[in-house]
Amino acid sequence: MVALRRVGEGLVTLFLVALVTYFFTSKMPGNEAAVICGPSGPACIRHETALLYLNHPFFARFFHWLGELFQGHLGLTLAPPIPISTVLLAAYPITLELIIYSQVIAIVVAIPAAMYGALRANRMFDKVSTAASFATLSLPNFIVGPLLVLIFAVKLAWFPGPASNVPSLWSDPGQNLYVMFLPSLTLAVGSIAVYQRLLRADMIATLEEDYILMARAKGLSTARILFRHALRPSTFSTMTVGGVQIGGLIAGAIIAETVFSLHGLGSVLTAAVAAKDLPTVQAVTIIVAVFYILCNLLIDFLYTLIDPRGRRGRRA
Amino acid sequence: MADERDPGLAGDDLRSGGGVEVGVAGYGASTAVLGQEPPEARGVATARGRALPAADRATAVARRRWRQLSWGFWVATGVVVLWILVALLAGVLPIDNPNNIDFSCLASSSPSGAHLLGCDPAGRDTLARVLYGSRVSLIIGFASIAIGIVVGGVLGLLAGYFRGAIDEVLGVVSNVFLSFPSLVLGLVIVTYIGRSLFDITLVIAIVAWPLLFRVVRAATIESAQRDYVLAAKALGARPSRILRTVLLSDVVPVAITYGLIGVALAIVGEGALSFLGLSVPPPTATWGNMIAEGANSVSSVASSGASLSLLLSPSIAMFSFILAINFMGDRLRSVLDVRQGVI
Repeated sequence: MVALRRVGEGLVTLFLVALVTYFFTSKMPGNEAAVICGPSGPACIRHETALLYLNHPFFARFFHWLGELFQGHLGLTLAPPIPISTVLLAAYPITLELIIYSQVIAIVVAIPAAMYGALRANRMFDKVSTAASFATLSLPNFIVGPLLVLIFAVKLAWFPGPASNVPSLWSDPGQNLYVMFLPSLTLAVGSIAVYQRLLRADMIATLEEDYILMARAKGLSTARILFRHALRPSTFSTMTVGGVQIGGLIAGAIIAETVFSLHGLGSVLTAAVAAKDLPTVQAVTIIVAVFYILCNLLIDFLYTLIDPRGRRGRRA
Repeated sequence: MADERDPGLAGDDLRSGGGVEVGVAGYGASTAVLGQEPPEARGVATARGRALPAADRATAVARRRWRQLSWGFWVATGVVVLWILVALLAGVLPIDNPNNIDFSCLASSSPSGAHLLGCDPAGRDTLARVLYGSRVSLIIGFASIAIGIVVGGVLGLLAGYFRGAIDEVLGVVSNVFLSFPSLVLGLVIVTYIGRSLFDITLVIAIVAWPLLFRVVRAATIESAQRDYVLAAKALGARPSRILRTVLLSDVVPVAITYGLIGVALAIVGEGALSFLGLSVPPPTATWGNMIAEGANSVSSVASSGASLSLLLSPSIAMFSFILAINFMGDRLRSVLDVRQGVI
């Protein structure tokens, strides 16, 4: 029941998101046709106007657009006229890889750091790592990115700099992961700070529970207690924030793609905004929003999997 | 906002050592019950229960809490005030015109006596541009959040106090706005509205209000359940009076604390738009577009002192301001005991 309700809410939100996207990206009727046709004359404009429903009222245009969207017809980019779906299909793997790769890096760094910090709370390592993550939270990724380029690509030359050729993940995974490391690290830095802070706080609380004392009394090793007993119940708020984080990651991906000249969804969106290419902006925005909402729904379900207490009407 | 790191959600309370998830919006009675407050807090809490005049209560609480702020808070406040002064007085300071082109600086643009931080490739003085650049960031940061607090705050008070249909509708609307990653929403609205200083302020305000709405709504709901609101109702106070006198004084500290963090987020958001070349158009100096220029010169030209300064100067300026304002917000939040639970 709860699940059904969540899905229902998700659908309503999706519909409204589509409406808002369309509202913000549709201008006066006729404009778009004029841009597409350029100097091609009135016949073309009449044709395009009819094709795009431009002489219809707002809601008729909106539902027409929504219908086309459901059939996968995203329209053409303004100049040159290429199907938007082609552009997006070519671009999305980069963005998706950035996001997933960055989260892997973040988890690999944040979990041990948080655990060690929680285990020796308020000792040197804990204080330094906590202060470092606070400072990192004030460091926007458009500063982190160029700094990483400066240090690791220009000065140390350990990693390739911007505008490097990115081989496909499937044909040359090693090289791909090597080239994508700095862009993903740009995204990961913020996540590391967030996860470290939340996990550390929750972990400190968990370690005071009776069942941890029980586990210690049984003589289990510290590593086993940390990973098998304490980790799972400490991840709840991190998971919840992870959902919110995805919005940040998408924003971060836009920045990282710009810094490293990668051709992902972010660079498609920025280029479209700069060129006032409304159909493309519409398409990218709606896809990103759908992805974001679906991720959050997914995380809600994952949450109930991880925390059995949530299975019976957490939101009641 | 751009950086979608949301300190509002991310920040746990450094000093509490985590643990107690209270979900308390205000700072009164409920914390005292948990025994986290110094003894005198209970006195105040009971006094609040008797619904002292709002002004007395506020000053008593405020005086005690100001004393808990560490020196770090005052250093951070100093940095913020300094940047505000720089933004106000940039025209009076003994620095170049930020758009003035010095042809002698074109070739040797490394830091020198005449140009302390060097020049950009167009021969403009980096120091002057960093100092003038603070104007765009600060104006947009503070103005957009001020609009956001007024809009989100008023709507949040109404939704939180009256609940019912108005709450449902506003809840759905704010949800829809929050369903977009904020930089994406910002980019979409920029396409629609435009890129002048005022446009960008408006864009960021539109992105920011739902968060402030949620925070204020939650704080209002929390505070509307208190005994002194019941007492005010029993005395026959009308909703408008309760909202203005009782609830407002509970909600304002929450709004200001989150507003400060909001300013940091707004500046990061503007910086991101600027960095992408989609905020206030050139030749106006902004920290974001200077960082973008610096990033370009660092990775394209063999890096010299000039390109280093071009990247680092605006980065350090922005980082110092955001760090200071986040620190202020974080301290205030822990001292006022405004919890992340309110979101």
